[in-house]
Amino acid sequence: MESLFVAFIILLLVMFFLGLGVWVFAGLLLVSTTGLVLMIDMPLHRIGTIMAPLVIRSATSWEVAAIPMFIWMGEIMLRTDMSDRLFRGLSPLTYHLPGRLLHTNIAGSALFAAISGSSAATTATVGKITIGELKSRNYSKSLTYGSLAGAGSLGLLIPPSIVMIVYGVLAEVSISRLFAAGVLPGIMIASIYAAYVMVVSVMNPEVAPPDREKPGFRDAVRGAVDLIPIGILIFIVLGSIYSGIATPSEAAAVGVVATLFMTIVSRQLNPRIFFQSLVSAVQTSCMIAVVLIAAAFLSTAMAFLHVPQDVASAISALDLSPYALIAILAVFYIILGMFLEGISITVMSLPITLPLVVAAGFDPIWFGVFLVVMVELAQITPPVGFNLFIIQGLTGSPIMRVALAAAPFFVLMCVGAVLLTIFPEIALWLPGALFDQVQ
Amino acid sequence: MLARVLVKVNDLAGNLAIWISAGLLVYIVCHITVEIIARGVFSTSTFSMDEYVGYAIGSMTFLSLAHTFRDRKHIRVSILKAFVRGRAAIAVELLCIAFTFGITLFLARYIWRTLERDFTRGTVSPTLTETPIWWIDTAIFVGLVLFLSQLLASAYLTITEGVAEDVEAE
Repeated sequence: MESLFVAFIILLLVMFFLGLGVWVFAGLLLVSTTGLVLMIDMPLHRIGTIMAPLVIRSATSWEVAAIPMFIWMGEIMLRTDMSDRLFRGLSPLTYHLPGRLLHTNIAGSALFAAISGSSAATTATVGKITIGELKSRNYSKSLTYGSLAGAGSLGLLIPPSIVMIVYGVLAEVSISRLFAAGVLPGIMIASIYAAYVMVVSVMNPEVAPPDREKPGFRDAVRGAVDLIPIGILIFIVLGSIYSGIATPSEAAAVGVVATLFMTIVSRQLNPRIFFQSLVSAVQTSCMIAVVLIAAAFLSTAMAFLHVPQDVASAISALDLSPYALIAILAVFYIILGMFLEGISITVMSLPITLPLVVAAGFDPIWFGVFLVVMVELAQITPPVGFNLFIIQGLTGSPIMRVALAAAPFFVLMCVGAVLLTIFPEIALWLPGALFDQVQ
Repeated sequence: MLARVLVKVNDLAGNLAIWISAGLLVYIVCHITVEIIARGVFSTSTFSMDEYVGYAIGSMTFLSLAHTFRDRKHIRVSILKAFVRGRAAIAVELLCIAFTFGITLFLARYIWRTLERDFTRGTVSPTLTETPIWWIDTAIFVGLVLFLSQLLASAYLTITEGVAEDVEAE
């Protein structure tokens, strides 16, 4: 009972500091420090002597280096003609499907996700061009916004993925395996979205009106040519990891060099874009890294307070079946996702949820993928959903309208999460096939 | 007047630190690329990649802390912010800044102690390079001092100009 009381006080502290609006990294340090003082009467000087070396050690962790590099890669592409190329390339290829150019949102996001680790970069890059193009052709606004919000979040699931790197570092599991585990679930969710768009379009053809001029074979070939640079980047980044040339962190550097080379050759890169993308990448990565550092201290504080062990034993005492546990965790993550963004959710919850899930017999790689799907849901749930904010920014539509448009895609992603739980092989087959056969 | 000068000096220091951070990111990409080429083509290594890239990432993070805060790119939950306006919003913002200042000052104090100890003892990394550890402690400490100064400047600007808008995280 005492342990649950400690967990309850920690939760109250989180609600107080984060609810007040304290920046997440400072809030987590405050929760940890206050919790240690209040609950176990730990002297401040002892907290300080634990905190300082831990902060230095977490800050200088080499695995984190992949984060700024993947962000920089995304920032360069965001500022070049990548979104134009995606639309030009995909529109003749998707035109003849029911739903027509609405699929450019889904296929464009899935493709861009394979070279960017960020959901926000994916949504912004794809949405920058598709929203205007689809609007000018009188496509359904609701399906346009919804499919972009849902598919944009695939940036987190389809490798490379920043949230997966964060999970891999915290859970101490192979990032290469995590990346491989995200591929099929990402394709599955994109396919579910595409199927939904097709069904809605067949039932109501007005959501995707035909163009006056239908694209022909020559347009399709020209479109395919536009997609070549993206294909090359995907091949270079993922190929360098799975051929053994580079680790996931090193692959990020390979990706940056390849992106710089390609944008220089195509005369897209100028000093202004270079420096803007560099500073923006440093700032975004700083924002993520300080949250990670604070979360490392939160995990240590939780261990001192015995919260993970006590909550785990309290939940074990309930004698829940593994599926009931996952269902409860899913509800917990959906609620968290309404108020927090993905990295905060991952770093704050993992010290408690990972031991529970592993004890229930789930594979930590599978749970990493499941957690990323939960984080993707968080991107499209109001009041705090970053993909919603980005689409709001791109369209000027009220946040609730964007959220309503995204609601069917939220349900579809929940269906994806259920399928992933019932059939864990969707996530685990590819890493097994890629890595276990070699050994 | 003095506060304005402080804000200006703070901006300059933050700008300098973000450019050093940007340089460190370029260095990280270069070092890793050299390592991959050395390993793949010449079957050798720089023997320092993990260590130095780690130092660079730590320094980059803390040196860019103040500038990232100035540009309002650090994430926060804005539930209460959505409901308060005017003076109440300023009071809430100042409270948030005060809490952040307090915990950062606490951390900076203990990082300083670590820096002082590593410097006086001449502690070096337990690696082939035997790099003096106080370099990285210094970068983190300087980053924290710049951040504390930025927090003071932000408090002043909140009082004089109102609450700044946050930029959504990417």
